[in-house]
Amino acid sequence: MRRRTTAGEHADPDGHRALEALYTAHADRVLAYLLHRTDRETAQDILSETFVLAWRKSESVPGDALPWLLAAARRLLANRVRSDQRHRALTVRMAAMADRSGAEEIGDAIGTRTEVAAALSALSEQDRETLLLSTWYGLTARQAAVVMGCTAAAFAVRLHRARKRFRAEVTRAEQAQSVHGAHPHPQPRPRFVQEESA
Amino acid sequence: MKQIATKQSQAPDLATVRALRPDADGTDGWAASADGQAVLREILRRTEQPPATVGSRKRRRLVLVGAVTAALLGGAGATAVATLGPWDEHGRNVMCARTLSAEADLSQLPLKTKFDPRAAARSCAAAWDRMWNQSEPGAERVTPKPTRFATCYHPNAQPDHGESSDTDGQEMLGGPVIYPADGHPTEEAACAAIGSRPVVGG
Repeated sequence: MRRRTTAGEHADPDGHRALEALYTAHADRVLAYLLHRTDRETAQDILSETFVLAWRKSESVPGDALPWLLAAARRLLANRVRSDQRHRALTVRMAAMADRSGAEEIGDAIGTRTEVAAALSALSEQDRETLLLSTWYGLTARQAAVVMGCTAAAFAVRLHRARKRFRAEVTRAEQAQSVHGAHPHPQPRPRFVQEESA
Repeated sequence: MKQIATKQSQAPDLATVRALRPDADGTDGWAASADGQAVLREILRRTEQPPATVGSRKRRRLVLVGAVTAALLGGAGATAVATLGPWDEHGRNVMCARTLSAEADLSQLPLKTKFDPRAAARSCAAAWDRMWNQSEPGAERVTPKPTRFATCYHPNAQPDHGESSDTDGQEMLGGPVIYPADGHPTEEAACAAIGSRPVVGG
């Protein structure tokens, strides 16, 4: 997407066609990212800001635009919504998933969704974001690194550490559940927890 | 949304996290929907206008939306209470920033934090790990606790750093925020680093 820089050329149809193509290709995914972290009205506002920014900074939007767009959306959201509010919104959405019945699609890879949601919620924002970028949005490490504003190598290290802390949190949540007898019917332990303890 | 399954993402722990992804967010095909097309038209309308020059930025006024933005700007013209500075006595409106940056993540002071309005920065320091480092004890500290703080007006509450809209003079500054100030000898220097100025009594 190339943007003209003189005032009279701003409504150039080629540039707008490129912007429309960018929007058609990526708006769904950027909106999904935002909806996981805030309400729909704010998400659509930030989405709009993101694509306006992409237009204004079109020279810096790479061919693989999605990570750039997610990074911009992430920054814009950070300025709009406080960290604790984003955390709360995400926790609510994860809790909704945790309550959902039917975990068959993940087989025995999970013990209880509640424990996993609690473990994710207990992580730092950076750890949680690292894990979610790797799993919820289908990004490669290189793409996720662009979103997080770090190198791919640094992202790999962050992911490794986030996974380690996540597993520790799941173990802790599981122990807390068993101490309090929260499971009237024993449920299978998460497979990765079994592997850790083996 | 299409998922790209990588080898690593097949790991059980990552698969477990992926399973928690809300799957009914209604975003597949949203861009082509009436709602999505309305947003696109708004984007196209906005991008038909040339960016404001510095001169026109001075003349134009900003319409701001968003809770934080509104709250922050709302504080811009607030007069500091003589004895409590810009804070209320319970610290309900204290905002702490993670970094000294115009784009810094902000967090409201946790409610249970002991608050002294005459030393508000201490409260940010006391609640630092709860706000920014929520990993397990003994884990690497993600955001080291600063040793110095400065209370500055939020330098720029606009989400795109003022590119799409603008203000001038004092209206550019938002409400009071407590920022880390390590490496800056004075509050003035720390606030100036983000294009702001200190809050009297902050």
